[in-house]
Amino acid sequence: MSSWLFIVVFLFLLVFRVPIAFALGLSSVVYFMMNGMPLTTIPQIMITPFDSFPILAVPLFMLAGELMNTGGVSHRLYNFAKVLVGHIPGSLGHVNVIGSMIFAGMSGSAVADAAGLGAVEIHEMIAEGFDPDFSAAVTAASSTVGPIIPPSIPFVIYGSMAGVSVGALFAGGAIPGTIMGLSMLPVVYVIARKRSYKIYKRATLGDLGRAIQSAFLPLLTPVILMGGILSGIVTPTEAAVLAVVYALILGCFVYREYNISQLFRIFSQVGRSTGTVIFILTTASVFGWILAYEGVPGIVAKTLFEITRNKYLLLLILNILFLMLGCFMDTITILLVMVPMVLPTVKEARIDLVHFGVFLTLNLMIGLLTPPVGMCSYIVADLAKISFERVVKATIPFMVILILVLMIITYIPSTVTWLPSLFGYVPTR
Amino acid sequence: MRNVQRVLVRVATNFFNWMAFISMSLIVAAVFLQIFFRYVIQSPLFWSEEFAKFMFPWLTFAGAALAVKVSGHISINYFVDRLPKKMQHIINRIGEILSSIFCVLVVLYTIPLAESQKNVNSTALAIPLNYFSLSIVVGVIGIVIFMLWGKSREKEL
Repeated sequence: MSSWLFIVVFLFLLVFRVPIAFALGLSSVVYFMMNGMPLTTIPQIMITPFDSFPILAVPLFMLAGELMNTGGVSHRLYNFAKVLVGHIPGSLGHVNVIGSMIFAGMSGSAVADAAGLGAVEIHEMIAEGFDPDFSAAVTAASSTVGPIIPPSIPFVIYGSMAGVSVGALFAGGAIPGTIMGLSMLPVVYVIARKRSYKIYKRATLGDLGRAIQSAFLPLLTPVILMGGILSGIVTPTEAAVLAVVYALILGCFVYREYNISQLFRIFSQVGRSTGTVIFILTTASVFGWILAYEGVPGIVAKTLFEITRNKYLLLLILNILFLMLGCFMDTITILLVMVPMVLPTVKEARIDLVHFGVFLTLNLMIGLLTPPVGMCSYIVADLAKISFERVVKATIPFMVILILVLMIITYIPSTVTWLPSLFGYVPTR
Repeated sequence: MRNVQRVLVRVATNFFNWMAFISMSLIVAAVFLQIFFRYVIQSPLFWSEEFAKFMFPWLTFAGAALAVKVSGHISINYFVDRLPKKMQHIINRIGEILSSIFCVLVVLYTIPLAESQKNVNSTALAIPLNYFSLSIVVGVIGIVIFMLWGKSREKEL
């Protein structure tokens, strides 16, 4: 029983604000020392994640997203979305959702969506007389489609943890992501009607033409990415590099938005984001190694199957488990630590692994909104200059809708698996 | 002493910024060449993937060090934020010291690992594997420098 002390140490460090990466590492050291195991094993395990070419897609997708964000692309997409849906009651609210959905096709991180495009969206909405809490809530809620609509950083990480094709996961996220985005529009409509927010004139055909022309090149990015991956021409990592090079060409030569010092800043900033995510990956591998050594995956499977062998009930239990974890921990850590823990159960219950990856990620995305550690809610509260509590309160209708969507994609697996199956993926039944 | 610290932090900031920039650029270049040679020249490169993977830890640990400087590492602030400011300060400092201890341990145990890999070469490029694990040592030393002396209050570098 004493070997479980390292989990207590881990939680204790987390509560006292030790960064997650170090908390994972320190608690692992405690375990190794208590069991008299050689500490040289720790760096050996820490270095293993770097031997993965798929994982390399994580910094590359971050870089592509950041380049698009700063290279004048987010403005163009925003204006494009405005021409499309600006005349519907709720105008900029819809623009916000549609803009995030389009941007999700180039960026794979909800946090980056909320912080990058979100800054543009919130600023405009407040300037046009929308309430700050509503503006912040729409931005946070719509940023969660980022990692569901491909590309997606969580899918890259899940894919390599679970040994699932990242391409199949990307294809699997497309329909659920679209459902998520579209289901938010009625919420925006109802709230906006009640508060009678500003509406824009319907765009003329000429406006539409101009907006399409201006956004045309960036809109090709998702086509290049998904076309390349699904046709099997490039791997996801290579596709990410194509997106990076494409964004560089757009930003340097077409729109002329970057100079060298700006590029340097963007690269080092993406380096920092990589550092935080992949550093967690290194120490989480050690932590995960210990959990596997202790046979935790087997214990989890045994416990869950003792509760029920019914697949539908099991899906419900998994959802509740991950929703709760998502409230307290960040996406990456949960993926890294928990996926190997529940994978045997999921396989045994014959839940399709692509299906599991997508609804698991959606759970974690809802966790980005919920207190006490909803990362996206914190970011938008900061941008809109209102309290975290106000954002959370305004986000509740969106969370309800997201949980509804979560139930739909959990219990109708074909919403996820149908699209990948067209490209040769064989789902588990 | 203060001056020495300031210079050290400035040098380290520059060093890790360049390390991140160079490794990131090289990764992009290598993977792009890989696609280019496969489809345009039609003779696939044998070294590009290994080279990109080789630069990956250098990028990561440079970034991990820089992230310390702007307190960018993800942590759960919810509970500590509710304590009085003085307590927060003490708790943060204890956390930094504990994290530094972890880093020192990692350095101590990575050096023998790197030592043992000195004569093992990678398959495609024949680079000794200890250059791989050396990135941990360099990055983690950076983390300690920033952790103890270099935390800036602002979010900019």
